[in-house]
Amino acid sequence: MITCQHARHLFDSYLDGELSANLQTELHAHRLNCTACQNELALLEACGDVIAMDRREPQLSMSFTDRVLLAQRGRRMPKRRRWGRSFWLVGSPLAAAASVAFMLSVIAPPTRPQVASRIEVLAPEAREKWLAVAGREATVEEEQGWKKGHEMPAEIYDLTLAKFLNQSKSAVEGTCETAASLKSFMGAVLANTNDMVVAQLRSAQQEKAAATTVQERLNSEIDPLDPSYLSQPPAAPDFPNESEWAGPVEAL
Amino acid sequence: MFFRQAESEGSRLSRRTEKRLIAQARDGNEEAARLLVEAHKDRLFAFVWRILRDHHESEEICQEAFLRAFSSLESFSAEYRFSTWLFTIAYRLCLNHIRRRKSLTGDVDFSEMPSEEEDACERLAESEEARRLKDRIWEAVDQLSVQQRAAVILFYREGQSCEAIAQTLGIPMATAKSHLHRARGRLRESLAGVFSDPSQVEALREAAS
Repeated sequence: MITCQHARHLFDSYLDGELSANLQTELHAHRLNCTACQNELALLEACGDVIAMDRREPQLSMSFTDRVLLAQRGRRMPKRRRWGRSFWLVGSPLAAAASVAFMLSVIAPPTRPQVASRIEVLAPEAREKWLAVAGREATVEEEQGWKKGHEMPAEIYDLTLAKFLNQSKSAVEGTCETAASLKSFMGAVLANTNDMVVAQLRSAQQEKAAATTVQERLNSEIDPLDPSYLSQPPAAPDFPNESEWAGPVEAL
Repeated sequence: MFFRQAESEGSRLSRRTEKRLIAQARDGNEEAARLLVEAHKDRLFAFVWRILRDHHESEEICQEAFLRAFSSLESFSAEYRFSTWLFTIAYRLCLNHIRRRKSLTGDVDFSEMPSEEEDACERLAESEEARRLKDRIWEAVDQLSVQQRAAVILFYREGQSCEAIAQTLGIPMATAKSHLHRARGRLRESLAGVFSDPSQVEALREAAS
């Protein structure tokens, strides 16, 4: 028969399920005769039962599995963060410039000549040229055919084309003027922004300098708890000048 | 001998099914991943919640554990059970979380207990005395160290052997055993005064089973 001390040493092996059959028999025999060991073992077994079977934990959310799979799907996707960041870095100023240009075009729409989509008006020289070449004036039908382009004689086609090119040239020039005005406007905006940033920077520097001065002054002040302060002689009190205190003293 | 609850759980996947699902999930099969989550989520959550005692944090940890497991399925060795691997990841996440919580609050707060309304129906079915004694046991479990608590829950709730506990917690088997034995010792000390009457223990065991 084993003792209580020996039996207690066997409790853990028994509960781990690692006790040999012989020792198990010994332990059971001791347990039947010893109330203290019986209670102690029963308490440990009760703890195990409660931990194993008392399911009073809260329940997981119903959507848990879906959330996990959704997050998993998100992590599987190729990373675009770097591109996204560079997009914002580059895109923001571009977007700002585009919005300014849009506002500008709305407030002051550029005056540009309309470009003829096709040759509709004959050059005045074309009629004279035709008179010289054909010896007669062109009929209305002929002019309409020329306007369509495909029936136009080569001699007057050059003149009409030159007129069209002139129109296009003036249109391009107008666009260039608008672009130049937009460029100067944007330059002014950027210069203004730059001035603002520089001014803010200066202001921040001044504030920092002021704060540094205050900090230096605070640092130069003596800590009242610093013992070295006690060894310093007290400062002399301020007395008024002799001329101020030597004069007559008003009594009451 | 203790009745090992987890071993009789019907929701567990067979080894072969688990291997097949892991292979499919590795190839990006979402349905396989869903089945793996469904099969393990409740047990994992119970384990994590018993360690952290916070519903929201426990869900976060469980989600992260699944995501980490899925993202590194390539390195998963088929000689282990998926659940062991999952519990290992979750346990390490818990440890990190507790360290962060400690650094923020200075201590771990285990005072949050399930509210009275949570399981009112279940509680009404039990005797008041049995419920009180169960709560005392869980309070004693909460007083254990994180490692001891994890070892106790894995042993009793998950039915893991000392070897599997050592694997899950990433510690030598002797240390795992030591955690388990010390945990029992502390439970015995904490509860010695509570269960003065042997009939209480018997009543509790009957209520538990």
